[in-house]
Amino acid sequence: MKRPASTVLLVLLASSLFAAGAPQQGVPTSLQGTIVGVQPTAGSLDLVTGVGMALRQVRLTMPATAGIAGGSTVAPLSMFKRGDIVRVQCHWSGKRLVTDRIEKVVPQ
Amino acid sequence: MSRVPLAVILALALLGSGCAKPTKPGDAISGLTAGQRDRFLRGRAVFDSVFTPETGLGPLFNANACGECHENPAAGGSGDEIEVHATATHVEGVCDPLAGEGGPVVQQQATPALKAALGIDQEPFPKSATARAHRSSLALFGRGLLDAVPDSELARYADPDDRNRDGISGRLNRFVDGRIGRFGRKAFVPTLAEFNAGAFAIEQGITNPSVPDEESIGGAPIPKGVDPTPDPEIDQTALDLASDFVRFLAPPSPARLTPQARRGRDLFARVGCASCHLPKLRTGNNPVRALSRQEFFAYSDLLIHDMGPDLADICLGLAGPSEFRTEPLIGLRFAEHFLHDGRAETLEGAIEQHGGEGSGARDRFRALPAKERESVIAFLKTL
Repeated sequence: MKRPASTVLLVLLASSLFAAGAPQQGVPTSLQGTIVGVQPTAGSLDLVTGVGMALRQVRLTMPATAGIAGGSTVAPLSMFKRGDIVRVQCHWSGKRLVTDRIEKVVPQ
Repeated sequence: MSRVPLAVILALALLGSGCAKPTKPGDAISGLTAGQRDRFLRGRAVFDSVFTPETGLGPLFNANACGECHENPAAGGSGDEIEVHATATHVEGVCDPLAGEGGPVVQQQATPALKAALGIDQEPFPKSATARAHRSSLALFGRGLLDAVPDSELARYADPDDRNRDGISGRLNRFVDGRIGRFGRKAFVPTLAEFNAGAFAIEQGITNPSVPDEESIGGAPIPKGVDPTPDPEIDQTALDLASDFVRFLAPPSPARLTPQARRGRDLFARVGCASCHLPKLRTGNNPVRALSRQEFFAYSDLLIHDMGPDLADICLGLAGPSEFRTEPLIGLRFAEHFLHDGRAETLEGAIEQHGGEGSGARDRFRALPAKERESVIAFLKTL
Protein backbone atom coordinates (compact mmCIF):
# COMPACT_ATOMS: atom_id res chain seq x y z
CA MET A 1 0.00 0.00 0.00
CA LYS A 2 1.45 3.38 -0.99
CA ARG A 3 -0.73 5.60 1.20
CA PRO A 4 1.44 5.72 4.35
CA ALA A 5 4.57 6.85 2.51
CA SER A 6 2.78 9.50 0.46
CA THR A 7 0.91 10.63 3.56
CA VAL A 8 4.12 11.14 5.51
CA LEU A 9 5.55 13.14 2.62
CA LEU A 10 2.51 15.37 2.31
CA VAL A 11 2.22 15.88 6.05
CA LEU A 12 5.84 16.95 6.02
CA LEU A 13 5.11 19.34 3.14
CA ALA A 14 2.14 20.77 5.00
CA SER A 15 4.13 20.95 8.22
CA SER A 16 6.76 22.97 6.41
CA LEU A 17 4.07 25.55 5.75
CA PHE A 18 3.15 25.66 9.42
CA ALA A 19 6.79 25.99 10.28
CA ALA A 20 6.71 28.91 7.89
CA GLY A 21 4.91 30.76 10.70
CA ALA A 22 8.44 31.48 11.93
CA PRO A 23 10.01 32.19 8.53
CA GLN A 24 13.48 30.90 7.82
CA GLN A 25 14.79 33.44 5.36
CA GLY A 26 15.81 32.15 1.97
CA VAL A 27 15.29 28.49 2.82
CA PRO A 28 13.41 26.73 0.00
CA THR A 29 10.15 25.06 0.98
CA SER A 30 7.44 23.16 -0.88
CA LEU A 31 3.68 23.49 -0.58
CA GLN A 32 0.74 21.78 -2.23
CA GLY A 33 -2.76 23.15 -1.91
CA THR A 34 -5.77 24.81 -3.48
CA ILE A 35 -5.82 28.36 -4.80
CA VAL A 36 -8.61 30.36 -3.18
CA GLY A 37 -7.69 33.81 -4.44
CA VAL A 38 -5.73 35.49 -7.22
CA GLN A 39 -4.64 39.14 -7.07
CA PRO A 40 -3.45 40.06 -10.59
CA THR A 41 -2.57 43.65 -9.70
CA ALA A 42 -0.52 42.70 -6.68
CA GLY A 43 0.95 39.68 -8.46
CA SER A 44 0.02 37.22 -5.76
CA LEU A 45 -2.22 34.28 -5.06
CA ASP A 46 -3.73 32.78 -1.89
CA LEU A 47 -3.14 29.11 -1.23
CA VAL A 48 -4.83 26.85 1.31
CA THR A 49 -3.02 23.84 2.66
CA GLY A 50 -2.91 22.11 6.01
CA VAL A 51 -3.27 18.92 8.02
CA GLY A 52 -6.69 17.38 8.61
CA MET A 53 -9.22 20.07 9.39
CA ALA A 54 -6.45 22.43 10.56
CA LEU A 55 -6.16 24.51 7.41
CA ARG A 56 -3.96 27.50 6.82
CA GLN A 57 -3.94 30.17 4.11
CA VAL A 58 -0.80 31.82 2.81
CA ARG A 59 -0.25 34.57 0.27
CA LEU A 60 2.34 33.71 -2.36
CA THR A 61 4.05 36.46 -4.28
CA MET A 62 4.54 35.55 -7.94
CA PRO A 63 7.58 37.35 -9.33
CA ALA A 64 7.83 37.72 -13.09
CA THR A 65 10.65 35.19 -13.00
CA ALA A 66 8.64 32.35 -11.41
CA GLY A 67 8.92 29.27 -13.59
CA ILE A 68 6.60 26.45 -14.39
CA ALA A 69 7.99 23.21 -13.04
CA GLY A 70 9.30 21.00 -15.80
CA GLY A 71 9.82 23.88 -18.18
CA SER A 72 11.76 27.06 -18.55
CA THR A 73 8.88 29.35 -19.39
CA VAL A 74 7.66 31.94 -16.96
CA ALA A 75 4.27 31.26 -15.34
CA PRO A 76 1.85 34.15 -15.88
CA LEU A 77 -0.58 34.67 -13.02
CA SER A 78 -3.44 34.48 -15.52
CA MET A 79 -2.73 30.75 -15.85
CA PHE A 80 -4.17 30.20 -12.39
CA LYS A 81 -7.65 30.47 -11.00
CA ARG A 82 -9.54 29.68 -7.81
CA GLY A 83 -9.94 25.95 -7.29
CA ASP A 84 -6.68 24.99 -9.03
CA ILE A 85 -4.51 22.59 -7.07
CA VAL A 86 -0.86 23.56 -7.32
CA ARG A 87 2.54 22.40 -6.12
CA VAL A 88 4.83 25.31 -5.29
CA GLN A 89 8.49 25.71 -4.51
CA CYS A 90 9.03 28.96 -2.66
CA HIS A 91 11.16 30.81 -0.11
CA TRP A 92 10.72 33.52 2.47
CA SER A 93 11.98 37.00 1.66
CA GLY A 94 11.28 39.29 4.58
CA LYS A 95 7.60 38.75 5.40
CA ARG A 96 6.76 37.59 1.87
CA LEU A 97 6.56 34.04 0.65
CA VAL A 98 8.00 34.18 -2.86
CA THR A 99 7.23 31.60 -5.53
CA ASP A 100 10.18 30.06 -7.36
CA ARG A 101 8.38 27.35 -9.34
CA ILE A 102 4.75 26.40 -9.59
CA GLU A 103 2.84 23.64 -11.35
CA LYS A 104 -0.77 22.61 -11.54
CA VAL A 105 -1.56 19.22 -10.04
CA VAL A 106 -4.09 16.99 -11.72
CA PRO A 107 -5.51 14.63 -9.06
CA GLN A 108 -5.12 10.96 -9.92
CA MET B 1 -0.28 -31.15 31.82
CA SER B 2 0.43 -27.81 33.46
CA ARG B 3 -2.37 -25.24 33.93
CA VAL B 4 -1.02 -22.61 31.52
CA PRO B 5 -1.00 -24.80 28.41
CA LEU B 6 -4.49 -26.01 29.31
CA ALA B 7 -5.73 -22.43 29.44
CA VAL B 8 -4.15 -21.72 26.06
CA ILE B 9 -5.74 -24.83 24.57
CA LEU B 10 -9.14 -23.87 25.95
CA ALA B 11 -8.82 -20.34 24.57
CA LEU B 12 -7.84 -21.67 21.15
CA ALA B 13 -10.71 -24.12 21.24
CA LEU B 14 -13.17 -21.32 22.05
CA LEU B 15 -11.82 -19.17 19.25
CA GLY B 16 -11.93 -22.06 16.86
CA SER B 17 -15.54 -22.76 17.71
CA GLY B 18 -16.59 -19.20 17.02
CA CYS B 19 -17.07 -18.36 20.70
CA ALA B 20 -14.62 -15.46 20.68
CA LYS B 21 -15.40 -12.86 23.28
CA PRO B 22 -17.62 -10.12 21.83
CA THR B 23 -15.88 -6.80 21.34
CA LYS B 24 -17.28 -4.02 23.49
CA PRO B 25 -17.11 -0.28 22.76
CA GLY B 26 -13.66 0.98 23.70
CA ASP B 27 -11.94 -2.38 23.22
CA ALA B 28 -8.90 -2.82 21.03
CA ILE B 29 -9.14 -4.81 17.80
CA SER B 30 -8.15 -8.41 18.21
CA GLY B 31 -4.86 -9.69 16.91
CA LEU B 32 -2.65 -6.82 18.08
CA THR B 33 0.87 -7.65 19.22
CA ALA B 34 1.76 -7.04 22.86
CA GLY B 35 3.60 -3.89 21.80
CA GLN B 36 0.63 -2.58 19.83
CA ARG B 37 -1.71 -3.32 22.70
CA ASP B 38 0.61 -1.41 25.01
CA ARG B 39 0.50 1.56 22.63
CA PHE B 40 -3.31 1.35 22.58
CA LEU B 41 -3.42 1.59 26.38
CA ARG B 42 -0.84 4.37 26.57
CA GLY B 43 -2.60 6.17 23.74
CA ARG B 44 -5.87 6.05 25.65
CA ALA B 45 -4.16 7.93 28.47
CA VAL B 46 -3.15 10.69 26.02
CA PHE B 47 -6.67 10.65 24.51
CA ASP B 48 -8.16 11.17 27.97
CA SER B 49 -5.61 13.81 29.04
CA VAL B 50 -7.29 17.02 30.15
CA PHE B 51 -5.37 20.06 28.96
CA THR B 52 -5.27 23.44 30.68
CA PRO B 53 -3.91 26.75 29.38
CA GLU B 54 -0.73 25.95 31.29
CA THR B 55 -0.29 22.69 29.37
CA GLY B 56 -1.21 24.19 26.00
CA LEU B 57 -5.00 24.41 25.81
CA GLY B 58 -6.22 27.13 23.46
CA PRO B 59 -6.16 30.05 23.17
CA LEU B 60 -9.16 29.00 21.05
CA PHE B 61 -10.64 25.55 21.53
CA ASN B 62 -13.80 23.47 21.48
CA ALA B 63 -12.90 20.96 24.21
CA ASN B 64 -10.13 20.39 26.74
CA ALA B 65 -9.65 16.68 25.97
CA CYS B 66 -10.31 14.28 23.11
CA GLY B 67 -12.35 12.30 25.60
CA GLU B 68 -14.62 15.26 26.33
CA CYS B 69 -16.34 14.82 22.96
CA HIS B 70 -15.71 11.09 22.46
CA GLU B 71 -16.88 9.44 25.65
CA ASN B 72 -20.14 7.52 25.23
CA PRO B 73 -20.43 4.67 25.99
CA ALA B 74 -16.62 4.44 26.32
CA ALA B 75 -13.47 6.33 25.37
CA GLY B 76 -13.58 6.80 21.60
CA GLY B 77 -17.38 6.95 21.56
CA SER B 78 -19.66 9.84 20.66
CA GLY B 79 -20.55 12.99 22.58
CA ASP B 80 -23.20 15.65 23.00
CA GLU B 81 -21.03 18.51 21.81
CA ILE B 82 -22.02 20.37 18.66
CA GLU B 83 -19.41 22.42 16.86
CA VAL B 84 -19.65 25.15 14.26
CA HIS B 85 -18.10 25.09 10.79
CA ALA B 86 -18.20 27.78 8.10
CA THR B 87 -17.10 27.95 4.47
CA ALA B 88 -17.90 30.00 1.37
CA THR B 89 -19.01 28.85 -2.06
CA HIS B 90 -17.70 31.25 -4.70
CA VAL B 91 -19.77 32.13 -7.76
CA GLU B 92 -17.82 29.75 -10.00
CA GLY B 93 -18.65 26.90 -7.60
CA VAL B 94 -15.23 26.73 -5.93
CA CYS B 95 -15.30 26.04 -2.20
CA ASP B 96 -13.22 28.26 0.10
CA PRO B 97 -12.68 26.79 3.58
CA LEU B 98 -11.99 30.32 4.81
CA ALA B 99 -8.71 29.34 6.41
CA GLY B 100 -7.68 33.00 6.15
CA GLU B 101 -10.53 33.90 8.50
CA GLY B 102 -10.07 31.04 10.95
CA GLY B 103 -12.30 28.51 9.15
CA PRO B 104 -13.55 26.00 8.51
CA VAL B 105 -13.84 25.12 12.23
CA VAL B 106 -15.01 28.07 14.32
CA GLN B 107 -13.90 27.44 17.91
CA GLN B 108 -16.54 28.03 20.53
CA GLN B 109 -14.37 28.60 23.59
CA ALA B 110 -11.50 30.92 24.55
CA THR B 111 -9.00 30.76 27.40
CA PRO B 112 -9.24 33.40 30.16
CA ALA B 113 -6.07 35.05 28.83
CA LEU B 114 -7.54 35.44 25.32
CA LYS B 115 -10.78 36.71 26.74
CA ALA B 116 -8.89 39.27 28.81
CA ALA B 117 -6.85 40.38 25.79
CA LEU B 118 -9.61 40.62 23.18
CA GLY B 119 -12.86 40.43 25.13
CA ILE B 120 -14.11 37.43 23.15
CA ASP B 121 -15.63 34.16 24.37
CA GLN B 122 -15.25 32.35 21.05
CA GLU B 123 -13.73 32.75 17.62
CA PRO B 124 -15.46 35.41 15.50
CA PHE B 125 -17.66 33.92 12.78
CA PRO B 126 -15.97 34.42 9.36
CA LYS B 127 -17.37 37.48 7.60
CA SER B 128 -17.06 35.90 4.14
CA ALA B 129 -18.97 32.73 5.06
CA THR B 130 -21.86 31.82 2.80
CA ALA B 131 -22.99 28.94 5.01
CA ARG B 132 -22.79 27.65 8.56
CA ALA B 133 -22.86 24.02 9.67
CA HIS B 134 -23.30 22.22 12.94
CA ARG B 135 -21.40 18.99 13.54
CA SER B 136 -22.03 16.42 16.24
CA SER B 137 -19.20 14.33 17.71
CA LEU B 138 -19.27 10.84 16.28
CA ALA B 139 -17.90 7.58 17.60
CA LEU B 140 -14.42 6.58 16.42
CA PHE B 141 -14.82 2.82 16.60
CA GLY B 142 -13.36 0.97 13.63
CA ARG B 143 -11.71 4.08 12.15
CA GLY B 144 -8.38 2.28 11.82
CA LEU B 145 -10.05 -0.24 9.54
CA LEU B 146 -11.64 2.53 7.47
CA ASP B 147 -8.20 4.14 7.19
CA ALA B 148 -6.73 0.90 5.88
CA VAL B 149 -9.15 0.52 2.94
CA PRO B 150 -7.21 1.32 -0.25
CA ASP B 151 -8.18 4.42 -2.23
CA SER B 152 -8.62 2.13 -5.24
CA GLU B 153 -11.50 0.34 -3.51
CA LEU B 154 -13.30 3.63 -2.87
CA ALA B 155 -12.71 4.67 -6.47
CA ARG B 156 -14.20 1.38 -7.60
CA TYR B 157 -17.53 2.21 -5.89
CA ALA B 158 -17.72 5.75 -7.26
CA ASP B 159 -20.27 6.32 -10.01
CA PRO B 160 -20.34 10.10 -10.37
CA ASP B 161 -22.29 10.07 -13.63
CA ASP B 162 -24.71 7.36 -12.45
CA ARG B 163 -23.79 5.14 -15.39
CA ASN B 164 -25.73 2.24 -13.91
CA ARG B 165 -28.82 4.48 -13.66
CA ASP B 166 -29.73 3.41 -10.14
CA GLY B 167 -30.18 7.00 -8.97
CA ILE B 168 -27.02 6.76 -6.84
CA SER B 169 -24.01 8.73 -8.01
CA GLY B 170 -21.47 8.65 -5.19
CA ARG B 171 -18.21 10.40 -5.85
CA LEU B 172 -14.84 10.91 -4.22
CA ASN B 173 -14.07 14.05 -2.28
CA ARG B 174 -10.55 15.45 -2.26
CA PHE B 175 -8.40 17.30 0.24
CA VAL B 176 -6.93 20.73 -0.61
CA ASP B 177 -3.81 19.05 -2.03
CA GLY B 178 -5.83 16.79 -4.32
CA ARG B 179 -5.61 13.50 -2.43
CA ILE B 180 -8.72 11.37 -2.00
CA GLY B 181 -10.52 12.09 1.28
CA ARG B 182 -12.52 9.78 3.54
CA PHE B 183 -12.69 11.20 7.10
CA GLY B 184 -15.08 13.82 8.39
CA ARG B 185 -18.75 14.30 7.52
CA LYS B 186 -17.77 15.44 4.00
CA ALA B 187 -15.03 12.80 3.47
CA PHE B 188 -12.51 15.63 3.20
CA VAL B 189 -9.49 14.35 5.13
CA PRO B 190 -7.36 11.60 3.54
CA THR B 191 -5.95 9.78 6.57
CA LEU B 192 -6.70 9.09 10.20
CA ALA B 193 -3.28 10.30 11.37
CA GLU B 194 -3.87 13.68 9.72
CA PHE B 195 -7.39 13.93 11.05
CA ASN B 196 -6.09 13.31 14.59
CA ALA B 197 -3.16 15.73 14.30
CA GLY B 198 -5.47 18.42 12.95
CA ALA B 199 -8.03 17.71 15.66
CA PHE B 200 -5.51 18.33 18.44
CA ALA B 201 -4.85 21.76 16.93
CA ILE B 202 -8.34 22.88 16.05
CA GLU B 203 -10.39 21.21 18.76
CA GLN B 204 -8.06 21.80 21.71
CA GLY B 205 -5.54 24.35 20.48
CA ILE B 206 -2.78 21.82 21.10
CA THR B 207 0.04 22.33 18.64
CA ASN B 208 2.03 19.25 17.65
CA PRO B 209 4.81 18.31 15.24
CA SER B 210 2.36 18.05 12.31
CA VAL B 211 0.62 21.34 13.15
CA PRO B 212 3.26 23.31 15.02
CA ASP B 213 1.59 26.73 14.95
CA GLU B 214 -1.60 27.89 16.61
CA GLU B 215 -4.89 28.61 14.91
CA SER B 216 -5.31 32.31 14.19
CA ILE B 217 -8.06 34.33 15.86
CA GLY B 218 -10.43 34.70 12.96
CA GLY B 219 -7.40 35.20 10.73
CA ALA B 220 -5.69 37.68 13.07
CA PRO B 221 -2.52 36.84 14.99
CA ILE B 222 -2.69 35.75 18.62
CA PRO B 223 -2.00 38.67 20.97
CA LYS B 224 1.41 38.49 22.65
CA GLY B 225 1.49 36.78 26.02
CA VAL B 226 -1.81 34.95 25.54
CA ASP B 227 -0.31 31.56 24.69
CA PRO B 228 3.01 31.26 26.55
CA THR B 229 3.35 27.46 26.25
CA PRO B 230 6.17 26.66 23.80
CA ASP B 231 5.16 24.97 20.53
CA PRO B 232 4.72 22.16 19.83
CA GLU B 233 2.60 21.59 22.93
CA ILE B 234 2.68 17.80 22.59
CA ASP B 235 5.52 15.82 21.07
CA GLN B 236 5.53 13.22 18.32
CA THR B 237 5.39 10.36 20.83
CA ALA B 238 2.17 11.61 22.41
CA LEU B 239 0.64 12.38 19.01
CA ASP B 240 1.47 8.91 17.69
CA LEU B 241 0.16 7.19 20.81
CA ALA B 242 -3.18 9.02 20.65
CA SER B 243 -3.41 8.21 16.96
CA ASP B 244 -2.69 4.53 17.63
CA PHE B 245 -5.39 4.44 20.30
CA VAL B 246 -7.93 5.61 17.72
CA ARG B 247 -6.43 3.39 15.00
CA PHE B 248 -6.74 0.28 17.15
CA LEU B 249 -10.28 0.94 18.46
CA ALA B 250 -12.36 -2.05 17.44
CA PRO B 251 -15.79 -1.97 15.90
CA PRO B 252 -18.14 -3.22 18.63
CA SER B 253 -19.48 -6.69 17.87
CA PRO B 254 -22.99 -6.52 16.49
CA ALA B 255 -25.76 -7.75 18.78
CA ARG B 256 -27.29 -11.17 18.07
CA LEU B 257 -29.69 -11.10 15.15
CA THR B 258 -33.24 -11.97 16.14
CA PRO B 259 -35.53 -13.36 13.43
CA GLN B 260 -37.06 -9.88 13.15
CA ALA B 261 -33.64 -8.24 12.81
CA ARG B 262 -32.61 -10.85 10.24
CA ARG B 263 -35.68 -9.93 8.23
CA GLY B 264 -34.76 -6.25 8.66
CA ARG B 265 -31.28 -6.90 7.30
CA ASP B 266 -32.79 -8.34 4.14
CA LEU B 267 -35.17 -5.39 3.82
CA PHE B 268 -32.28 -2.95 4.39
CA ALA B 269 -30.72 -4.32 1.23
CA ARG B 270 -34.00 -4.70 -0.67
CA VAL B 271 -35.16 -1.09 -0.26
CA GLY B 272 -31.75 0.16 -1.40
CA CYS B 273 -30.12 1.39 1.84
CA ALA B 274 -27.16 -0.89 1.12
CA SER B 275 -26.48 0.84 -2.20
CA CYS B 276 -24.61 3.54 -0.26
CA HIS B 277 -24.35 1.92 3.18
CA LEU B 278 -22.27 -0.92 1.71
CA PRO B 279 -22.23 -3.64 4.34
CA LYS B 280 -18.62 -4.75 3.94
CA LEU B 281 -15.32 -3.11 3.06
CA ARG B 282 -11.90 -4.74 2.85
CA THR B 283 -8.58 -3.35 3.98
CA GLY B 284 -5.43 -3.64 1.89
CA ASN B 285 -1.96 -4.67 2.94
CA ASN B 286 -1.07 -2.91 6.16
CA PRO B 287 2.00 -2.90 8.40
CA VAL B 288 -0.33 -3.68 11.33
CA ARG B 289 -1.29 -7.30 10.83
CA ALA B 290 -4.60 -6.88 12.66
CA LEU B 291 -5.60 -4.25 10.09
CA SER B 292 -4.25 -6.05 7.04
CA ARG B 293 -6.56 -7.70 4.52
CA GLN B 294 -9.52 -7.60 6.88
CA GLU B 295 -13.12 -7.73 5.72
CA PHE B 296 -15.32 -5.82 8.15
CA PHE B 297 -18.83 -4.43 8.46
CA ALA B 298 -18.67 -0.72 7.66
CA TYR B 299 -22.07 0.04 6.13
CA SER B 300 -20.50 2.85 4.11
CA ASP B 301 -18.88 3.43 0.73
CA LEU B 302 -16.98 6.46 2.15
CA LEU B 303 -18.17 8.45 -0.88
CA ILE B 304 -20.07 11.72 -0.91
CA HIS B 305 -23.68 11.72 -2.06
CA ASP B 306 -26.24 14.43 -2.67
CA MET B 307 -28.61 14.23 0.28
CA GLY B 308 -31.02 16.93 -0.87
CA PRO B 309 -31.59 20.58 0.02
CA ASP B 310 -33.07 20.02 3.48
CA LEU B 311 -29.81 18.67 4.87
CA ALA B 312 -27.54 21.04 2.94
CA ASP B 313 -25.13 23.27 4.83
CA ILE B 314 -21.49 24.04 3.88
CA CYS B 315 -19.28 23.06 0.98
CA LEU B 316 -15.91 21.42 1.72
CA GLY B 317 -13.36 20.35 -0.87
CA LEU B 318 -15.30 19.10 -3.87
CA ALA B 319 -18.38 18.40 -1.75
CA GLY B 320 -21.24 20.78 -2.37
CA PRO B 321 -23.51 21.95 0.44
CA SER B 322 -25.90 19.03 0.01
CA GLU B 323 -23.24 16.34 -0.36
CA PHE B 324 -22.29 14.21 2.65
CA ARG B 325 -20.24 11.09 3.15
CA THR B 326 -22.26 7.92 3.68
CA GLU B 327 -22.01 7.63 7.43
CA PRO B 328 -20.50 4.31 8.55
CA LEU B 329 -23.01 2.54 10.78
CA ILE B 330 -20.38 0.95 13.03
CA GLY B 331 -21.61 0.97 16.63
CA LEU B 332 -24.89 2.56 15.56
CA ARG B 333 -26.85 1.10 18.48
CA PHE B 334 -24.82 3.23 20.91
CA ALA B 335 -25.65 6.52 19.18
CA GLU B 336 -28.20 8.80 20.82
CA HIS B 337 -28.56 11.33 18.01
CA PHE B 338 -28.33 10.83 14.26
CA LEU B 339 -27.25 12.61 11.06
CA HIS B 340 -24.32 15.01 10.71
CA ASP B 341 -25.60 17.56 13.18
CA GLY B 342 -27.51 15.26 15.51
CA ARG B 343 -30.85 16.67 14.37
CA ALA B 344 -32.60 13.29 14.30
CA GLU B 345 -33.63 11.80 17.64
CA THR B 346 -34.55 8.39 16.24
CA LEU B 347 -33.33 6.07 13.52
CA GLU B 348 -36.69 6.29 11.76
CA GLY B 349 -36.42 10.08 11.89
CA ALA B 350 -32.96 9.92 10.34
CA ILE B 351 -34.18 7.73 7.48
CA GLU B 352 -37.14 10.09 6.93
CA GLN B 353 -34.73 13.01 6.48
CA HIS B 354 -32.70 11.31 3.74
CA GLY B 355 -33.24 13.27 0.51
CA GLY B 356 -31.49 13.52 -2.84
CA GLU B 357 -29.84 10.21 -3.73
CA GLY B 358 -31.27 8.74 -0.53
CA SER B 359 -34.86 9.60 -1.38
CA GLY B 360 -35.50 6.41 -3.37
CA ALA B 361 -34.54 4.15 -0.48
CA ARG B 362 -36.38 6.45 1.91
CA ASP B 363 -39.56 6.22 -0.15
CA ARG B 364 -39.32 2.44 -0.40
CA PHE B 365 -38.80 2.29 3.37
CA ARG B 366 -41.85 4.51 3.86
CA ALA B 367 -43.91 2.21 1.65
CA LEU B 368 -43.14 -0.84 3.78
CA PRO B 369 -45.84 -2.13 6.14
CA ALA B 370 -45.28 -0.94 9.73
CA LYS B 371 -44.03 -4.35 10.86
CA GLU B 372 -41.39 -4.41 8.15
CA ARG B 373 -40.24 -0.88 8.97
CA GLU B 374 -39.89 -2.05 12.56
CA SER B 375 -37.78 -4.95 11.33
CA VAL B 376 -35.37 -2.58 9.56
CA ILE B 377 -35.05 -0.53 12.74
CA ALA B 378 -34.54 -3.72 14.77
CA PHE B 379 -31.69 -4.66 12.43
CA LEU B 380 -30.08 -1.21 12.70
CA LYS B 381 -30.22 -1.51 16.48
CA THR B 382 -28.02 -4.59 16.30
CA LEU B 383 -25.14 -2.67 14.69
